[in-house]
Amino acid sequence: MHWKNPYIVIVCITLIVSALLWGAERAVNDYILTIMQFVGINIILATSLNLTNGFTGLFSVGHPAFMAIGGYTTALLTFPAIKAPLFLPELPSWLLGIEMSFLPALVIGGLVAAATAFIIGVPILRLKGHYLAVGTIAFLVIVNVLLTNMSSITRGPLGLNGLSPFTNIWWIFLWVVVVCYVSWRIKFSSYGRAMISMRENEMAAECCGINLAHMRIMALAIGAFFAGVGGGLWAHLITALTPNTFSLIMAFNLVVMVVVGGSGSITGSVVGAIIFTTTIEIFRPIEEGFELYGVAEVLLALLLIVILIFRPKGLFGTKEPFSIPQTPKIRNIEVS
Amino acid sequence: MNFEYIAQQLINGLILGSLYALVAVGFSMIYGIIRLINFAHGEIIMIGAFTTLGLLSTLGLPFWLVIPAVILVCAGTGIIIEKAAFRPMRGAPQVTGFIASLGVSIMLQNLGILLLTAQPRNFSIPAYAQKTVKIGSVTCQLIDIVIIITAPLFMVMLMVIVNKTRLGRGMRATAENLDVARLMGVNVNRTIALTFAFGAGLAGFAGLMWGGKFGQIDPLMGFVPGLKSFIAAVIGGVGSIPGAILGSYLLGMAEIWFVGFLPPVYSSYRDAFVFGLLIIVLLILPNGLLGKNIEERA
Amino acid sequence: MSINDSKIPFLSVKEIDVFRGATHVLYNVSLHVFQGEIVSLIGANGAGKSTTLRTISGLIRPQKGTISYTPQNGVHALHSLDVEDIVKAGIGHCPEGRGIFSQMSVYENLLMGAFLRKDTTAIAKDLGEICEMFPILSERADQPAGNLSGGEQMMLAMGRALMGRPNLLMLDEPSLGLAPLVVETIFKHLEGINKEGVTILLVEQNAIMALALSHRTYVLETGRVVMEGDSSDLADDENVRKAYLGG
Repeated sequence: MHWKNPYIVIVCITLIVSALLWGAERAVNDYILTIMQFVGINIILATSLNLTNGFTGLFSVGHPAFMAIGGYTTALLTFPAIKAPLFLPELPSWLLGIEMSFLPALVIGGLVAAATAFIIGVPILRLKGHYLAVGTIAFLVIVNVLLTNMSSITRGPLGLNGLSPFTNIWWIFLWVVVVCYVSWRIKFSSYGRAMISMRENEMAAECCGINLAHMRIMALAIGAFFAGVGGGLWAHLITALTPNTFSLIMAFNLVVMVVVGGSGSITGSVVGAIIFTTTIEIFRPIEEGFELYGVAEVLLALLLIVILIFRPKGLFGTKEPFSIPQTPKIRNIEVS
Repeated sequence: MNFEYIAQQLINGLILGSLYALVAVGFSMIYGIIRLINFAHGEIIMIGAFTTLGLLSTLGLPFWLVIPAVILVCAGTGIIIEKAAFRPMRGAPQVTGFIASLGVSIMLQNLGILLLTAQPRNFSIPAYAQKTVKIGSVTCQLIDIVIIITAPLFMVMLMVIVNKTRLGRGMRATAENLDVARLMGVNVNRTIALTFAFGAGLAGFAGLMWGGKFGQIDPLMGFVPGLKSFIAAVIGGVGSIPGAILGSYLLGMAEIWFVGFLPPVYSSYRDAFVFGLLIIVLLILPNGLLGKNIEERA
Repeated sequence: MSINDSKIPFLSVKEIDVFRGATHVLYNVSLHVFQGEIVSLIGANGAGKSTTLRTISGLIRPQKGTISYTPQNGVHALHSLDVEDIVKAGIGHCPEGRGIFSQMSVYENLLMGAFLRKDTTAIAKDLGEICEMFPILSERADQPAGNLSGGEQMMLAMGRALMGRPNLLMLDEPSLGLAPLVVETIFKHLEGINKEGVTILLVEQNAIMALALSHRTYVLETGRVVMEGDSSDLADDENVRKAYLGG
């Protein structure tokens, strides 16, 4: 299907989904609404991971670390100035006094995560293939250890709790739209094509004049930004934050979402996130009712392995199911 | 800081290094032969520990019988994992295998939780193994001595097999060039399966020793030691068995000394230290200390 | 020399179609080799020569067609056998680029050639003979094979293949990357090996040497056999001269 003006489509889809959400807010109970919010956050996380991994062919497993950085930053910034001295007496005073509203805090959280990505990206992104994956796991563990031990800022293993429940379905929807839009714009731009060429054949891409190091760091940083925002949204949905949330298991879950959906496909990440979250939720009562803890993860791991063996490209491969090209299709080229 | 303290830390480093070595050689062998970072290898430690517990307490087998039984069970598990998860993926890009191994790791951990609950269990080895022994001024348990002695013994056995036997030649040939090895008549499927078996058997033994030494086991116990053994293999040069051994003892020493000789406020940073070391080694010495430049077949 | 006495070809490749992934590489390729012959397969880069050998060895399976090998003891349908069994049946393959195990010693490489053999005394005797044929190998016996020069590696590869006591020896571009004098030596050795009774199937880009050495030749062009015949006839042929012998 070709559309003359892609923006009409985007606006239409956004309006339809908004209407659905508005109806859902009134019709369904809180439990389902919460699940929808988790789906939304997972969409943000999976899509941003797809940007880093899927578009450029990097393999970063460190996404939860950026979530943690963003999450903690947002939480500290929105923390009521009155409560702060009680919870975190050792926090520097300028930080204690800050109490921001949600949106700026989220953005700053994302930016801090992106800044971290720039800093660690320079050394780590020199690694290739599965060594990069291992390096990002190391980064994840290091962040985890730091968060657990820097109790003056993070309250260590106890974490932060009593965070204000700012997150609601509309904030999440906003950021879902933003991350999908950004991903879509990047993918179908020359910038995105450069990234994809890197994924397909690095040497050839370099010969075309593409600055590989620059692309890699940008991919990591943009993904990290949205991961940070996701972390902030997460923190203010659950209203609590502990270092253990951002573990290798979460990294694995994100990888499942992206790989099952199709690494490189935005639709794939969205679908993967939906499949994943709903599976976990469906199995939650089973797990608790029959004391079968862990069965959901076992099944998801099995699903991943099966997909890797039989359909390694995932459900959507690297494509979107409909094409909304950025540039109008050129017809009837005359060859002289 | 006196001589006894240093000697104690040295022994502790040797013990930890020996445990890492048992697991790291498996990592190295598997990477050497099929260029796969097998994340699931660490979970074999857990399987070994629980198998020991099961055989000892549930079946009530005598300890000397349990040891070879555990090694065999874990070797078998390694073969099953290779056949089910990794053989279908041979020839796929390296990242695919890595993701799959991550999946197998998570699956095994959660299967453990499912079947055995996340509750740590007590692991009691026969009382004689817990007896304290004094060597000079250093104290350790009998099981520690066993670890320090058996690990190098296994290493030597393994090196003899790999370097002096026909099977070992087949393994080394397969590791260098799988297709040409096939042209020599090597049954590469069987060779790769055996490699997994050796690695897993040793890791299972490590699990038995681990449980015996630390007294408590749980389904998630294999994950961090597995990762650290992998780091040891990388430090020594992944793909090289002597490298894995060297890296393991170096890492074991480094870790113990980090905790033993720095002020206590830093000891909880020990994991960050180990993983930071990994990143540094990967960046500066990508082939590790003894590694040969194994070409990456993208 | 009447080599073509036996009516049944030693090796018979019949109308194989081979794909590498989605790409169709060999189209309806047929060739046969009689016992005691040297047959060469020449063609330009990318014609599919290596693919043909790899298919015969069992590394690749043909989509269509059959490959039969008829030594003394019965018929083997190679297109459906495992590589291991094909090697056991007596086919040695000296692969493209020599394929020596550079981190193993020269001695160990030779032992790999005898991997499937159990007769230790005979293996030791064969080792001695190979070292006589290629003295450089016994000189460097314990060195890593990667230390050898290109020509020495080719000798090692040939020696290794001979350690398997093959009835049919297939070589993939033995002259690749070697100096002309070295190539001459190698080809002289091949002649000698053939005189001792080993049938040879030779894939070569160096058409001149291949035509000079072999009894019959097939010409492969983009996956199809476009010519076949006695090597001496092909060497005089206009088209072959223009395409492969420099006019």
